[in-house]
Amino acid sequence: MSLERYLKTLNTAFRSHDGSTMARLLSASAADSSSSGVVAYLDEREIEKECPRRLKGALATVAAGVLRSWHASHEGRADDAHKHYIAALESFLDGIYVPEGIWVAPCLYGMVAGVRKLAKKADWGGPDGRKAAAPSYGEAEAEEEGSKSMVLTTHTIMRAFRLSINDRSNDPITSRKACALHLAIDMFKHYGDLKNLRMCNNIRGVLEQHWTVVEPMSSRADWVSYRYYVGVLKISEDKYKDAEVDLEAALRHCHNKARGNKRRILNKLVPLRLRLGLYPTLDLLVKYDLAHFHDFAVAIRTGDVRSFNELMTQWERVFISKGTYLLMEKCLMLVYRNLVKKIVVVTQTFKLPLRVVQFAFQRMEHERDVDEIECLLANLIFRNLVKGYLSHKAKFLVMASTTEKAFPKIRLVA
Amino acid sequence: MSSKPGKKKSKATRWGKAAKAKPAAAAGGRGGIVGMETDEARKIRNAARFAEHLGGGSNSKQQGSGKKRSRWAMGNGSGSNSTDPVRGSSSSLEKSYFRLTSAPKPSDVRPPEILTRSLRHVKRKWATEEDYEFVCDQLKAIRQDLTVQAIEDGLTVDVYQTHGRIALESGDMEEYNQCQSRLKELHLSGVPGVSMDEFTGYRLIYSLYRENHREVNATMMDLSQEARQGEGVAHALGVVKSYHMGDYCTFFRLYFAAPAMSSYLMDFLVMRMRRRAIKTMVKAYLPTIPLSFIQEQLRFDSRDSLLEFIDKDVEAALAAPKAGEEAAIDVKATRAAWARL
Repeated sequence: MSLERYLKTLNTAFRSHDGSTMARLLSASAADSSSSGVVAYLDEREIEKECPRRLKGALATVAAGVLRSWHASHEGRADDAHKHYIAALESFLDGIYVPEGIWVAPCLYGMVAGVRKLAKKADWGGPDGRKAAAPSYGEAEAEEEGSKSMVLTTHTIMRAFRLSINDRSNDPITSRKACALHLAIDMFKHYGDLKNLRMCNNIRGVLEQHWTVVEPMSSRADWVSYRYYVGVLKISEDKYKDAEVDLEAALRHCHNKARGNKRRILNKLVPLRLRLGLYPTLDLLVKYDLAHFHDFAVAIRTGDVRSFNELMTQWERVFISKGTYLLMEKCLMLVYRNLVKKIVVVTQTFKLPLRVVQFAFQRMEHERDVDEIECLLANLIFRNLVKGYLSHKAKFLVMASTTEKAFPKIRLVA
Repeated sequence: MSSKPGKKKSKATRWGKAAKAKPAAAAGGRGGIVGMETDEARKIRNAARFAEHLGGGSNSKQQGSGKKRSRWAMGNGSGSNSTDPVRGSSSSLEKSYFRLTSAPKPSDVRPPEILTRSLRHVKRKWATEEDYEFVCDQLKAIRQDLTVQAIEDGLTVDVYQTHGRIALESGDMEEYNQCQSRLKELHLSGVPGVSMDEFTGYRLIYSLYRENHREVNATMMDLSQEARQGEGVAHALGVVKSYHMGDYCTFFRLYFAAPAMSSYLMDFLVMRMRRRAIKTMVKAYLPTIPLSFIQEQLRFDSRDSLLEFIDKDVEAALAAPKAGEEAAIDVKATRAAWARL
């Protein structure tokens, strides 16, 4: 496509309110708009001359910024690519989004996604040899100079979110509030990249003040994403009950064919359920390529401490990167509970000398002295996973008189 | 120049560590805590530890001179149009910290070589006198002089690590947190010399203290397999796990095996862990829990401190004394008392 034709197509899309075509044409990647050919012979003077000539007002500024960004990307200048694109997005917000209304939402969403991608490339993955992996930032350190593009991007997306949520109109056809949820999700993703999850709660707070208006305006897909991210936030704050509610709702309403998204949700929901002693079927796990949880379920159900610990070592990196490591560690208490239950079933007695328990742990795990055994059993009793009491003097664990009473259903006591 | 003194921070309240006799750590060693250490032994240990820093050469070459860390680094305050950081010319070994309200004069700022000597001087003072107010004041002034000169090098790392460690030892969490954050920045910008294993371990335990589970998770996410094997990090991960599991037995063993300054941080978790442990024990044991068992498990210094904790902190009921039986908590009476609260 030639420059002239590109500009003409863009103008036509704008005049006919064709949001999706405009989104393609303003994409951060030239290839997405069939404009790879344009980039090869672009130069600054051509852009400066042709855009104002063929387009009017803010659209000319936006198009010029996008074209300069493509040109910079083509030449490997990641910083400049981001700089021009974010300038285009800023112009878009003031000159097109606010006056035109939400028919341009596809453009806005596409440009926000594009600017985030360019920012990451500029700061962390450009050809100029910067770090290949996202560095970590403490919660007060997002202003680090090395993440300049990411910080600028934060401000711009936040401004887009505020323009949306603060729209005075509540008309579901015209109000910019309809875009707020999608932009909030973009902010969650962005803060996730910056490892600054605390800021997500500020956005949640603002959103929930307007929730009764925003929710009916939003797409189901955005609603599911929102519940997913809120669930993830709750897990990171160790609020597991709340997390389960959100993730379960997200899973239930997730589009049936969105297999990847369902897998993402299950990656968080399965550990939450395991912690309650609820084991997923192998069919479900195989269907979503999560079969490794089956091994965990078997180890937990059978009280196999050794296998559980080996699996934790093996999958440690994965769980840490997904933020579920500490959650999975808590399942260890269930393994211990089930081991004690096995001892009871095998010995057919509800009064156990501590040295018997100690022996079982020695065979299953590693040498533990009697103090460690007492502490472990005390915690099982404290959490109501075992009904009974310890006698320190006599060195006995005494339990309720039936298996059902001595070992209550885990989901009822968690 | 007109300026006013910054607020003096009061020292945070600390709880004493449970005492248990252990062999004194090797001179200069960071591992092992001596619970019943005498004042004299403490000074010797401190002096020996800082001798390590005195011996190590600090690289005081300036790096990143183009980087602006502070607005006070702009201009030299004498009307010049230069945008270079201030070049200090003061040769004073001691200087009190004052919050800057205007661009500093070069004659009030100390150059790197003087700061190096000043740091050495402050370390000696801490080793011999342990006057935290003085040392903190001096170190803040050194940090300020580094900031206005935009110096980020081995000397800067040494200053922040020293202040971080001394702040931990003195229970000054605010100052420690500032140093911790700055060290992380320095590490991320590529300044060599940051003891990441040690300070990442502190960060994990500090996040537990602040009940900041997000930060614990975020810090764990960034650990490489190699980093997890380090002494400081491995210990801290054990603390995180035992804290989350309510495993007081392991927690207190880790407390007594804490590397470097970790035990000072764990001091802030000890009371919390003891309260949880007593609740767990009262629910789990019948009919009594011997005080000697509790004292040993939760590492109380003395029977008196345990009795005070039981009476004031958890309001547990003691069993009526019986001939030939040792003192114990009466579990049923305690449960009844707690139920009435």
